[in-house]
Amino acid sequence: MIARRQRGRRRRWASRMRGHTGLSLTSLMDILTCLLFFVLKSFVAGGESTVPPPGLKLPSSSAERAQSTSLVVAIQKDAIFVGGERVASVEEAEADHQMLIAPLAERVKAARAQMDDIALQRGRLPLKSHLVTIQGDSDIPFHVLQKVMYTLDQGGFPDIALAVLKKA
Amino acid sequence: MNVFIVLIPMLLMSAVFMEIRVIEMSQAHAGQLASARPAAPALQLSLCVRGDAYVLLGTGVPALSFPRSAADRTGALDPAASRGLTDALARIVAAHPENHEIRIVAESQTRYQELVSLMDLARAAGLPEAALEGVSEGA
Repeated sequence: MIARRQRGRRRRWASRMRGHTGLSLTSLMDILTCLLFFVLKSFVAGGESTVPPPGLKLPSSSAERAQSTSLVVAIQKDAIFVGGERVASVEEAEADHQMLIAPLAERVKAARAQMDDIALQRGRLPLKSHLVTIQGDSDIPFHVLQKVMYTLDQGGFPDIALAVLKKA
Repeated sequence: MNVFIVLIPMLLMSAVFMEIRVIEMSQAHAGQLASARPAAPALQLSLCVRGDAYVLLGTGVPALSFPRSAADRTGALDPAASRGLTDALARIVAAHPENHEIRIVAESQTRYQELVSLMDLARAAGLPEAALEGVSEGA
């Protein structure tokens, strides 16, 4: 008796559900609304948003200053990159007794010249100093960082910002 | 469906998003060898990273030494050393409020994370202008 009633209920429910197999528009709208609020909440107005190269672990710090637009030099464990382009290997930089890293210096000077050209084309005077952001791996030894900083200074980038990850 | 409505925002909220900040440095000091540095303010406060100790030096300030453990070398400063350094720096800042500079004199193999941690300590103690320097050869 009970089994027959259950079967009847299941049949009625199945016939009601026929033709309603798609997603409910109301629920979908709810999801999209939630996503929209979340995206708006996490949106950072102004400032510069830069993602460090994969494999690079930035040091953590309590620094609060936001990043601004600048040339980015990334120092990974094995190579040095300028604007995403590999310019020198860390091994070579370490082995060289000179403070100046020649390939990096060339690339940085070219970047500086390009910035000055752009400024002139826009009718502005070239800036005396340019900002550069170093995205260094937290494990790199100081002498590598020191050589990179020295080279950047010689290449016309005396203002340096060290990119760090904000401590939670 | 309602479960998904709750789950999606919850998962998104728990996701870790990297917040990148910067420490600005003056290249006038950075990257130079300690011996080649130009004339500095009267106090000339330095925090030297040595093999097994952090040494605070300054004109008119007695030299203070704090033990440096193996963990410190990875950047995770030992709480005792960290507390000792913060207290000492805060005392120096209280005695010399006009000074905002500190030189962090590092060894060639000092890890970047350790330097950043030391700069954080200095900034927390009221010394926002930190300069990095290398130990001159033979020092």
